[in-house]
Amino acid sequence: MPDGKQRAADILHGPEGQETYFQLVRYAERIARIYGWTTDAILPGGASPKSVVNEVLKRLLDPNGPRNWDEKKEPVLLIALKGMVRSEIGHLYDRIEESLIESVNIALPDGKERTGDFFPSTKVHPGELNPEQHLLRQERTKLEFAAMKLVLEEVKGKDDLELVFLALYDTNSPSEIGATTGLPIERVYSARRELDRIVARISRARVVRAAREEKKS
Amino acid sequence: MKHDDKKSNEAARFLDNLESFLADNDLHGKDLVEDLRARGLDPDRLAAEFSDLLEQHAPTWSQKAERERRAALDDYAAACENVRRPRIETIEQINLLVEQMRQLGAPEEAGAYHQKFREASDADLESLLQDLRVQCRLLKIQKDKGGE
Repeated sequence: MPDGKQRAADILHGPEGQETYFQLVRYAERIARIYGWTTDAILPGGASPKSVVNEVLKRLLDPNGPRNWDEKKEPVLLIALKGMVRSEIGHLYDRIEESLIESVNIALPDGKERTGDFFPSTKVHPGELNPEQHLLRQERTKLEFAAMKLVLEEVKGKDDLELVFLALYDTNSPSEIGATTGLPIERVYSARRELDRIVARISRARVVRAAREEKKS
Repeated sequence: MKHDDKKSNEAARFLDNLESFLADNDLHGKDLVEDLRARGLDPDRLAAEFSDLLEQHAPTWSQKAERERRAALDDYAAACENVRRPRIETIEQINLLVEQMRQLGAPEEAGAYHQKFREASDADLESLLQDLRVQCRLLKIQKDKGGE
């Protein structure tokens, strides 16, 4: 077994192994939730945040598995595992988008297949989005905006949270948020815990509903 | 930049930052367990699944030893069974294994089992049965891996 795999196995068998696993499942749940907000989709193929975590661990721990842990690049196993989980969930959601674009690949009455690439604008300007991608992007923007507004509604009236919310337009670093808002770092961390609970309360259905209401108005 | 594009970038950037900001919000001990429960996850079940996963994919030396001990016991039990088995029963078990392997996708091979066992001695048949058991076990493992 290569060193990275063995080291990861040793740590996971150790006293902090179970807590690392719990933290990873919790992380995966949050990532999948935020992806779900912006794509209006659940994880495809019957996957769940927990099953993604299990799959990542299998790929890392199996001697022939494709994942490895490079301790020199990322010395903290939990952070390395979070990166792998994030990438796995990202791939799964990318597949949903690809399938939505592919669905237009049908033979028309003249017998020829056409995809979004058929449309002239994408031929002339290859960097531009084709109509299918454009539509998806529009839908995604509406969902992103609705999600952001829902978070805003939840933090309204809570001074520290409002400040952190505004700072999150520009940065994700707690120390920078502290510097921008003038909040002591402990209060930034406290706001972070509260924001995490808020995120866990906002369901995908709620975001989709908010995006539809926004569309009507 | 169009107004819509700007709005889209702002919301996307906000959500990216929010996700990264929350990424390090790790809880510990009881707080972590309570949080998992609040998210509808059962920590006891998670712990059991984690333990199974480790045992299956990264067994400790004692888990490996226990696994080998059990396999040796199974082989011993099978060997004891062989001693007492009549010839016709051995042939039935061979046919059963060949059928199982076929269902698992094993290619049909010209082998001893195509000779209708007339010329094979009892010892040959026992040996063939043992070989087929091993092959069938390997096929099942391969199939399980392929299905994952």
